Amino acid sequence: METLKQVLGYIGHNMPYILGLARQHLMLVGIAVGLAVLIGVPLGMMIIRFRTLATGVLGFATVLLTIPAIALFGLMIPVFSMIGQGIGAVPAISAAFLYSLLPIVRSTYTALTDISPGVREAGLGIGLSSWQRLRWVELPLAVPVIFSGIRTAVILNISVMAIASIIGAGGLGTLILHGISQSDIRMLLTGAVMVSLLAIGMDWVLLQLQGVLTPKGIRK
Amino acid sequence: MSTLLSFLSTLRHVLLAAVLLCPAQAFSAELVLGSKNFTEQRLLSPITAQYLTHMGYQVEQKIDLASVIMRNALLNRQLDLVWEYTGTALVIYDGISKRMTDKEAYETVKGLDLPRGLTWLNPSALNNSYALAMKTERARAENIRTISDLARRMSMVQATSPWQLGMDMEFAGRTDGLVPMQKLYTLPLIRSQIRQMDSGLVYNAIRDGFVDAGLVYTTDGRVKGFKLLVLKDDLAYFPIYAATPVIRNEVLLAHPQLKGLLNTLAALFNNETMIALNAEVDIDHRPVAEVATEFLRAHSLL
Repeated sequence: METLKQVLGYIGHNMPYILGLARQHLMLVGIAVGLAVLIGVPLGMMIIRFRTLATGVLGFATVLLTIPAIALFGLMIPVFSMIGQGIGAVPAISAAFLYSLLPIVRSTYTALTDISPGVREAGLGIGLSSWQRLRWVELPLAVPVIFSGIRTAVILNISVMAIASIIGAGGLGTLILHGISQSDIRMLLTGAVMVSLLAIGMDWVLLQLQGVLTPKGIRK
Repeated sequence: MSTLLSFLSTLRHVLLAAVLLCPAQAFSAELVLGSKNFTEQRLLSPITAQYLTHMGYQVEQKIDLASVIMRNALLNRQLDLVWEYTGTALVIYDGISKRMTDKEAYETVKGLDLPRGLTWLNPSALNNSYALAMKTERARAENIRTISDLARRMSMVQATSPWQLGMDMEFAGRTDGLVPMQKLYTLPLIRSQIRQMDSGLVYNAIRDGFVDAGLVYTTDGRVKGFKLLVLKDDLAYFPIYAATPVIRNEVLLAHPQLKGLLNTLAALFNNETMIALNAEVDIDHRPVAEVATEFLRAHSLL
């Protein structure tokens, strides 16, 4: 009870600072997942066309996801030091980007694979080109599944990004790190709770967006 | 195949754009100030930033960096200015293990760094060295005052109830860290007796009895606040770690006044002032920025 009061007191006194870190956290995740969508969705579509690549691409993305987060962030430092960006936002975003690829590529691939051949043939039957079928038939039908991949990537990276503060990228991990090393339970709890709230909140926002983007015909 | 190639080229462009766009704020600030991942450095950062901002500079703070990461970022010109310790530069960056006086150590690192593009300004009287510490009560009871006493005591109980030692990962791994110290003092230690954790957690671990002794920083406020006893380094193992402003030559050339300003700050620090400042953060849990402002006001620098 005493701790709860201390935590609330801390939050009350440091609101702008905490919100600033949350915004920074969200920016890092947003850019990383945004880039992963821009690249992962087309990549998922591409490996449908070139099935021989599918195993390789999905396998590679799976291996990326098995690298421990703290190691992946550390690995980014020497790589980006070569262009003078070894610390800060660039290596952090790159690591989270790599983590986001698997959920997004795999969900795109699965969604497009699972479209029933009947629907595909119907598109063909009314004379749509392959691009038109993708744009007007297959992608809209794939939205719910692709979005579940994006949501997984966002939630995963909101928690993974808590490590970004050790490579100078800031975010809510700063509170957790300082809480541990300055014997300050208030900062630690605030950081942890904020990360969870951010993940829950973003999941809800994306769920709403998914609802809007899903074609009326397949809404549940 | 051509689809793949055009895809790869798109990927390259997107990544390049990301690289160019994201750290936009990193280029806007006049000075980028780096700092390490413990309380003293978290205080030196806002003290320096607030003072330089007051003197008309734009300062961006990059905090929480491990020593080697910070050093590389400075050499890569991602940082302009840091507070570095003479002992760390001597042993870690320059790989020199020879025992030196304070002045010798300072002149050596200064001389070696100048051709690398870095200028060491005046060293402060702040010597944030390592030390081993125990709970005062227990050290008194067991009659331990020096690291030699500790080694003797540990050998006595090694077979029956081996002691646990807490320390941060940097010390456990670095070349001026645990291994040579263990050799010099013949500390009986096997791997399972070494508890690695965040440097700030060691203080709590000693206080709460999770470890029997642990590695601390001599300027940490929790040494006093948690009633710990710093064991005397009777064989003079630890070198001097004098906190010193280090700035890139190019930056100093562009802003020659920084030399005077940073030397003014360096002259303010010694162990006593830093222990008090650290305690405000680690014991009283006050925000670093607030403690920094108060410190600068007290010295009429704000």
